Amino acid sequence: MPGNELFQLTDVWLERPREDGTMQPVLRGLSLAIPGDGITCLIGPSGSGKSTILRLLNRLDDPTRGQIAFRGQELRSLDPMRVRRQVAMVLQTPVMLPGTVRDNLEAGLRIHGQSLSDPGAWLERVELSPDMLNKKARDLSGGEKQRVALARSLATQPEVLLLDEVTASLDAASGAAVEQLVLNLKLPAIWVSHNMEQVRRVAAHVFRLEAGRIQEEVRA
Amino acid sequence: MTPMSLIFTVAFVVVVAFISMWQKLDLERDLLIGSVRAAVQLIVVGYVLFWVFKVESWLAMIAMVAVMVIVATQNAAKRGRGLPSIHWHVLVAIVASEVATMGLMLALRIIPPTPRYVISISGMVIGSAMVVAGLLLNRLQSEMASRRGEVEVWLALGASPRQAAGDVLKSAVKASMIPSVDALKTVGLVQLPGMMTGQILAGASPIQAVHYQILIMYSLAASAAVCSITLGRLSLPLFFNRDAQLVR
Ligand SMILES: Nc1ncnc2c1ncn2[C@@H]1O[C@H](COP(=O)(O)OP(=O)(O)OP(=O)(O)O)[C@@H](O)[C@H]1O
Ligand SMILES: [Mg+2]
Repeated sequence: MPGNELFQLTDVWLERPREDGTMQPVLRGLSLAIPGDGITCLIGPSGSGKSTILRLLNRLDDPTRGQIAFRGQELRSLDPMRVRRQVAMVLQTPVMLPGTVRDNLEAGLRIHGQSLSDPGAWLERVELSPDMLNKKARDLSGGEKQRVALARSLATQPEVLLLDEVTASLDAASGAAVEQLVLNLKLPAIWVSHNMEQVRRVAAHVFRLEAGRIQEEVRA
Repeated sequence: MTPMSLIFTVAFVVVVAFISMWQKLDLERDLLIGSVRAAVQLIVVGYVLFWVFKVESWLAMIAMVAVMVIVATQNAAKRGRGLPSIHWHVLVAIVASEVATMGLMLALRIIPPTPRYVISISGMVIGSAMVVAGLLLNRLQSEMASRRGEVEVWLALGASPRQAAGDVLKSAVKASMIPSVDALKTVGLVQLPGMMTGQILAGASPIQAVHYQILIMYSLAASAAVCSITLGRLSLPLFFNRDAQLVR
């Protein structure tokens, strides 16, 4: 159903400067309709442009050419800061902000002068102990950081999720817990994953990316 | 000092030139240019000041301060190459620190509003602002480059560019002010500042020289702070575009 898509990308090109000054085409005329229901998984080889697409949808970057619509509206015509509040992105490599785990969890709401009522509960939701709240966030392990980063984004109560390999450095048990948490939220999400088992479990739609183009829609 | 002893000071330059050639530091050319420039600039300024102090002209005083501001701006803005319209931002910051410090000194009648005082103290205030402006621009650019990930996490959470780069700005401002704060802590113990040395050599009592030096040190610190904060706040938006994307 056209018009009902969460995101509609039409002939999107993105070029990035290389060290030597020439341009590398990262996305090459990509067209993609992401439905508004359930979880859409993006799969594809390393370097095919999956993370790049998520950055575009969060408006951290704009395409060199082509259109992106969010719920039927031209993305560029919307206030980027509003879009980012609605469309939360969890980056592939989690970056902790200075300060404690609590500071990190509260960051999103603090921007808008609000406070987070129960930061400890957010840690429990991602299978971490609330004892961790006053720990220095940069001292956490990779998997812990990844979960704090997810909780940090979820705590802002977004409407749409962009998840970039959020369970990549987790053991099977915490990975499954994070998966269940996301499923329980029942939010539309775009989830980049290399784990085909996971994709089969969570995805309503799957697209395969190859060299900056959508190769095919895969049966979920 | 007699003209003869002034000429003998060239010996110092010869010493450096000798070391440079001996160690193949390749500094002779720059050294020669620097030495000649220093002498010419100072002698010209000496005569100009002599004239300005004698005629006590307001216009000449303002013109001299303006020249100082412009030269300081040119110099500091070099550290911000790659940032669009950085010259104007540096200019505003240096003018702000000069106006704030000089305004306060004149308003509180700490110094009399004569060219002798205004020009000499402005020179130091503007010089300190220039150094701090350069440090800030350097630091701000390197911090923004190394902390991109952090800034983008803030942006992705819906922060405005100012919020997103707030921590980065804070550490850049802090770093740019460390030399000024250190100078406050060690003055008199490590080094006798130029102005005090000059006054003492010219025959003033060390007590008198110290009073002025305290005034100078405080005003330099104030000027550094005003310049650093003003320039930091002004140049932060240059790293982002209108859509709150990090572009530099
Ligand atoms: N900031 C950047 N500057 C220059 N090139 C970049 C930048 N970010 C990504 N690229 C290039 O864009 C291409 C796509 O990168 P992207 O991160 O989107 O891949 P990916 O599909 O997410 O891969 P992976 O599965 O390894 O995470 C790569 O060739 C990469 O080198
Ligand atoms: Mg990626």
